[in-house]
Amino acid sequence: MIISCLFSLAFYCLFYGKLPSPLLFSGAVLLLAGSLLFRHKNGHKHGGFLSIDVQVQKSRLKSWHPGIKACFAVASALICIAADSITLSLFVIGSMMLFTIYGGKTPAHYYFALLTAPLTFIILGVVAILFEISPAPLGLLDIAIGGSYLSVTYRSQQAALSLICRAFGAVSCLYLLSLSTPMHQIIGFLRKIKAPALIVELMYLIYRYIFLLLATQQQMARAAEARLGYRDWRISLRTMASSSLNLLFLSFRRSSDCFTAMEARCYDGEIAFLERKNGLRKTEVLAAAAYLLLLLGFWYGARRLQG
Amino acid sequence: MNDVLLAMDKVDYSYDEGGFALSGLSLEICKGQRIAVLGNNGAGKSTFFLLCNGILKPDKGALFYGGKTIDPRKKQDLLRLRQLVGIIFQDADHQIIGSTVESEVSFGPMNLKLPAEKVAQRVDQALQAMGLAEYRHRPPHYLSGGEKKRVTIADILAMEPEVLLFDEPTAFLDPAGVRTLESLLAELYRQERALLVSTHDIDFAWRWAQRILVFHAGRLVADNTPEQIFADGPLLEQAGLRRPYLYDFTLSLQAHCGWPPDIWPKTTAEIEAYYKNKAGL
Repeated sequence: MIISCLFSLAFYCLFYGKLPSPLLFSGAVLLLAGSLLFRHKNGHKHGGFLSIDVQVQKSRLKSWHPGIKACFAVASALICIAADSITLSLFVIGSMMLFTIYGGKTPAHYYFALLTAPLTFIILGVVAILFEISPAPLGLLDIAIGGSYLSVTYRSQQAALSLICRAFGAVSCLYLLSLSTPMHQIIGFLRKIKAPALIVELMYLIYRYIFLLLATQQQMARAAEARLGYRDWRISLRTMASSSLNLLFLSFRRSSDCFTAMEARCYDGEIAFLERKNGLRKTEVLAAAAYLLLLLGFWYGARRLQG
Repeated sequence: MNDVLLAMDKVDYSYDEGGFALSGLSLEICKGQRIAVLGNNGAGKSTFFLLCNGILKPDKGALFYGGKTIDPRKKQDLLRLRQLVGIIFQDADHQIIGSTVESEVSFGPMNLKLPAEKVAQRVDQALQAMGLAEYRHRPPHYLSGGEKKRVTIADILAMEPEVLLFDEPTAFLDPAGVRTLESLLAELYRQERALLVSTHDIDFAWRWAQRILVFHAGRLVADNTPEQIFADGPLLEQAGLRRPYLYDFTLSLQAHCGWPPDIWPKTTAEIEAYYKNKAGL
């Protein structure tokens, strides 16, 4: 609710003076209604990142080489940030969306629901940039507070708009990667590019055990729920405290059990898994390179036009 | 005439000072044996398994493999023992650490420091043997209980052990999973490995085992054929066990239907075949 209002408010301030006021007003109202409806329909789902893991398994881009996807996404994000051009950012946002939804067959409603999380942070950050404090009313929109004014100027509007587009563009690049590449492939790629062994091993273990931890927590919460452990606020708090404590003890015990099982298989202080060589496919390399060249060309063209 | 693989001589082990978890344990495990390990919870079955694999080190007594003494304090001996004696843990989630089935199964052979091609070959073989070939790229948390159990068996097979220890393998399985497990055990038996299964399922032990070890209060109280073990009433009483249903049924057949006293059927099919044969069908 608050977030939807913020969206709408931010939209209003961003385009104040750029759009004719009837259009601006109806746009803001539509945005408010639309975002409320969307949140209502898609609800508030827990375990968001677990559902990403499930979606990834179904992605049609899963078979692409993880190295190409990682380089492609990171390079696109870097170009998007460095170019600082609204058109280029919009192009990146649009094309990444197309790649993910049409290429990877990630459900559109799921993609947009997932985007609301970073979007909220971006909008919150942008509000701070949008308003400047000035002693005199010199902006397009001024709010008097005591002796000074909170004003939205043309410059701050431009800065905010470009920031939104850049941030959003970079996020959609990373979403392409995380919605099409299983975690173990990403970790395998990090190992291949010689990321520190400690980080890589920790990532493997965290990825494996986070699911066990959540499953255990869920079981305990259910068992507590079945005994009215969450009937009111006070009791909920107590239940939560004791189940967290229990979870900690269980985790310790479990980690020693797991260590025993690892030792039984000759674990010797270094975690290593088999990594099969999978060759780069020419079409994948060419497609990624073509897109990146297009972005670079776009950037160069935009700079020529400006300069 | 039997090839002795693993042997223990008067082994003692305690988790802390004073109370013995296991004491005076002596036994020999030979090639191609099917052994069920019975006993109530806390009797020492799991401790026994962990001793076999060198995770726990005996306080007293000696450990042998293939006739040679194993010193669990020597790293080389320990690695050899752990490769040759594999444990399939009760809870598959304790054992699985890989993020895909394939990487999980490769963990053991990678620890043996084999070359990559060799590891790949062993992983393929193990996955094939457990019918997991098409699951190789799946993360383990999306597998069912029975599939996870098969993954943990593949884990151990890929290390090519001669002795396999199954810690209560049927505990988390549904009846279909148990059936699959039994046919896998039969397949492993054909490969002449020594198999030890700790279980609470008396009827399974009767059906499957050639030899039964009974643990009670940290001691190996009996080591005999199933026929001998279940004929020993006081022993069953002491260890908190019961007779298999088929054993009881055979006793009533003997009493009322002229069943010969020296034949102990392991399946109902054997009984049916006997009476059909007798009736000349």
